[in-house]
Amino acid sequence: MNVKFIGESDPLALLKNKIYKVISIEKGWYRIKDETGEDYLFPPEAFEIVKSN
Amino acid sequence: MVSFFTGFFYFGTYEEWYNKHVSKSNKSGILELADIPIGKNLGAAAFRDEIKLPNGQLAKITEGTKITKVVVFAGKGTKRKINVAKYLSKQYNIPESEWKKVRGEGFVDYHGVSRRAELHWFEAKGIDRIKMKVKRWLD
Repeated sequence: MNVKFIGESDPLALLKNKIYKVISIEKGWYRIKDETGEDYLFPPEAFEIVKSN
Repeated sequence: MVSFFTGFFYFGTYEEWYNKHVSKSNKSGILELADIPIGKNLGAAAFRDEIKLPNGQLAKITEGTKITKVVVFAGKGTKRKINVAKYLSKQYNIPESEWKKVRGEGFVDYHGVSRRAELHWFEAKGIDRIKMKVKRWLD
């Protein structure tokens, strides 16, 4: 699944309007490789699904 | 560089002494730290220990709990570099070499539920726990 981030940009987290691939969904949170290059869990509210599996 | 001399005995540099007797770095280069208590009131510490969610809201670390199993796993005092140290340095005006990437286990309040999680954050001298993120759920 791909999602578009619609929250506030943070160069050490996520960038607004950028498309990210969801690696997995864990307890409702999206695991995404963020701008630091590491994968973390983020809550789904600030994303729009642009491509679902 | 400071050397320790006592009479005719040479004890090496301070750094050698520190690494032998004080530093808790293990062979993997991980530096263990003490637990971090989270205050029960709405003081400065309670406001500080929070995870900024992508929508701008904040998920707080559950008050009255502790962040345990705290270790520095990259940056100052370890063998691993922080790949975003230059951004941190620029944003907070603290040298790249001073930053630590730290992990610990704590409880996060989200939608009224407290969940145990592995947390990652950055810190440096004078800058407590910033950019805190959830690495994984532990419950």
